[in-house]
Amino acid sequence: MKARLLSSLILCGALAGCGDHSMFRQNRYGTFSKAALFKNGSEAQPLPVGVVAQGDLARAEAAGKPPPVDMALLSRGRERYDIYCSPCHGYSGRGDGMIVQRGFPAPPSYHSDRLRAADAQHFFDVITNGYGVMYSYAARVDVRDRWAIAAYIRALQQSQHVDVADVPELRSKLP
Amino acid sequence: MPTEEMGSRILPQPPEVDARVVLTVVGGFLLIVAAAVVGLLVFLKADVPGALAPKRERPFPAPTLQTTPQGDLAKFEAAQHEALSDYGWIDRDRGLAHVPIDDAMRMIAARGEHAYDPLPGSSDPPADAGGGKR
Ligand code: HEC
Repeated sequence: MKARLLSSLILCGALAGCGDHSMFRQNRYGTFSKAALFKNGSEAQPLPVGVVAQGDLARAEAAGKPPPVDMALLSRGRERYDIYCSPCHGYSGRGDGMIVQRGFPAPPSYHSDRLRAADAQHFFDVITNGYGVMYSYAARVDVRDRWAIAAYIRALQQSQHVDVADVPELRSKLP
Repeated sequence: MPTEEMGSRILPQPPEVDARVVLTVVGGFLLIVAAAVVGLLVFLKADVPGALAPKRERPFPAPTLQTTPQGDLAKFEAAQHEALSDYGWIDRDRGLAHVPIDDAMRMIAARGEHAYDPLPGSSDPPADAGGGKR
């Protein structure tokens, strides 16, 4: 009996000596911390050369194949555009979104000659890679959605620039 | 007692104070002040341009406080959506109009294979107000 008590007491003492059991301090690097383990001394490591993430191939394929444009795709593009692009580019694409009113550099209007003449691939690439002070939206906007947004930008451009000669039925609706 | 002493010193005024001396001192003081004021005016007029002209009010900008951010955003978005929701002329002479975005989406969808292609015709509509500084 006495020996048992003694051994359990000793065990308690030994356990107490094991240090911090709270799991607050784990044996790992914190975000943005220094890391002696790696050559560049940083915890954040780029992907090793040649790595292909899951779904990369499918994404690369979708990037080269614009989906056919129908109302569903355009509606999707409109929704995504209003979420991700309108804060800067404005709902009508004039580059006068709320963030610009608050001092962010003004983007060019989609209704300028240059961007009306730009092909859809350019819009896709700008979303993927960013452009000038505009950062990339690749992480937020899926490949198919990028094409949807590109198509919707065409619709925006169309809505602010219709040649009435091409659409005779428009005459009756105009003031 | 000190207070009584003081009282007795102040009241009454002894009759032998000469009123002319008092008047001379006060008059002299006023003269010096008048001379100083006149001198100052002469100096300002001669050497400090604009000092004597009446100052114009300088309006300063109102503080850029936003008292109702939600209301401002709602108003802003309503204004932006309005540009996408009605028919109107952009340039009547050239036959250019703007149409609601739903119509435009139908027009783009109707282009079928060529939906992504750049739109025909160019030259900026005057409605192109905001946008790039380049
Ligand atoms: C944070 C604000 C911001 C957001 C959000 C934003 N942009 Fe931009 N965008 C800019 C700015 C600023 C420029 C101009 C960049 C420059 O010229 O340096 C620009 C430029 C562009 C251009 C024109 C490139 C050219 O050839 O001049 C396109 C196209 C574009 N953005 C598309 C988009 C799309 C599509 C989205 C939504 C996925 C989007 N942007 C979201 C700020 C933004």
